[in-house]
Amino acid sequence: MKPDSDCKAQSGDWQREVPNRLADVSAAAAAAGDFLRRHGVAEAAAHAVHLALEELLTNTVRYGRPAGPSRVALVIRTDAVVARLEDDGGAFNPLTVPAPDLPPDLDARTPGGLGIHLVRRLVSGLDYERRAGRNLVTVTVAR
Amino acid sequence: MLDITLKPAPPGVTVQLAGHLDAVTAPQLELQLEELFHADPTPVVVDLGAVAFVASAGLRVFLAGAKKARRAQRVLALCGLQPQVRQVFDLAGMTPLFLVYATADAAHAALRQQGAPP
Repeated sequence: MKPDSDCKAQSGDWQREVPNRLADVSAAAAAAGDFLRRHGVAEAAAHAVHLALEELLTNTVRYGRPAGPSRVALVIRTDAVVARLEDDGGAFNPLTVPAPDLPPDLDARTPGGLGIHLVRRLVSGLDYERRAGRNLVTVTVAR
Repeated sequence: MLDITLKPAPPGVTVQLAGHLDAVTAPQLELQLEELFHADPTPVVVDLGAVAFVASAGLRVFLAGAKKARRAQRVLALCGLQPQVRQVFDLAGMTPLFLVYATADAAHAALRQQGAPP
């Protein structure tokens, strides 16, 4: 994991190429959250971006079987934080994942399947495109 | 990074967590809970007071842990949920599935009064 000082110097921007291992993607997601907090983004929005990156990137590692690293870029706008994720794994559109059934009864619940649900509930915008064999996901979190 | 510290609170135990509960660290908690459900102490109170981040991998461990606890006739309770963590539990519809307390002391005191597992 490269320290933040290695990132593009332009203030308010952050980008990484993240090896597709759980340890690397979880660390990158946390680093993104820390970067946002350092740049004055409120806790709720920084947390939402951290969680969205953690869930989307770990999904790619677990199910996408990408050949190369995932790319992550953050842009801090006055009204929102925009995160762009790109990977060359199998086509996966997070918008097509059905909402899980969440019965308030322990015996009726099956563990798993909550990641994308959390992302959709915590972010203000989620867009997906499949282009030239790559998944392009754009996450927008209002500030 | 996740630090796990066990604090005896007879007849139960507190599992004090510090750090992030994500895809990398969740399996550590899973192993720890598994071990405790095979041993004597109950209730098992997981203190999330120093946990700023819980991802779906962490929720999965709590849900599986609650199911195992029920089968093993153990009580699993949570305490110290920070606002962002509480929100994640709420969005996942998990809050109603757990006994949730403000602090570990409050949890053990309340559960001692209740006595046997529900």
